[in-house]
Amino acid sequence: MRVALALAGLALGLTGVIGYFAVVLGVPALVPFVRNHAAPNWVLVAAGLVLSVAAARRAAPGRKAVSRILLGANLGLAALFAVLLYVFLAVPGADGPAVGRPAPAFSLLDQAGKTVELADFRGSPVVLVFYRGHW
Amino acid sequence: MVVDPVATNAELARTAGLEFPILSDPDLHIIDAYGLRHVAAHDGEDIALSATVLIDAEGVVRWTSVTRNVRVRPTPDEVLAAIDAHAGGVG
Repeated sequence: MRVALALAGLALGLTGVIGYFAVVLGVPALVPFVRNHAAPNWVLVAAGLVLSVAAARRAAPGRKAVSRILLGANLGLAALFAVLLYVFLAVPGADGPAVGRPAPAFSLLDQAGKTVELADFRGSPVVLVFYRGHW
Repeated sequence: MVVDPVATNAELARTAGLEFPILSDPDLHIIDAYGLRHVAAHDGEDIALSATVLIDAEGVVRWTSVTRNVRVRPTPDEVLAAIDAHAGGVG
């Protein structure tokens, strides 16, 4: 039973981690919230860790090894998730253009090959989004 | 705005059904003017940092969001709220 509890904990952790990337890649309507915060995923990972710890603590003396190995795997999974989200995907910061100053002018080609200038939009607000690209 | 060439952006706009202008800045001239170059970020090549810049009707920068993590971007609601708060609203 303790092993089943530990396995359930690991399964929850895996669901949280794999679920993050499944949602980000596969369910666009949910993407902004889950992608930015990963909160539902961390709840699953945390719940999985609670189960794993409970299983390791309750295992009978002499039969703790499997539960401890599964707890270790779950801890490793949580650490990997944290590194992926907060270290691997981090980028250097930048100030960007100064707020309150005129936006730098541009004249660039759009996807139809048509020249688009910032001045074309004078009189209405413009949302300029910079993408990483290489789609 | 993106470093990708026009042809790539045309294909993306077609497959994703995007109707807003996607501007090509392959030499990063404008990306540099906005201070948003990310050096050696993609297979050693420079690209733009993910960022959103709100410019008001007079051409003045009113709000910016520059990501420090590629998975974190402003949500559509946050951008709309910024337009309401800083650029006189949509339309």
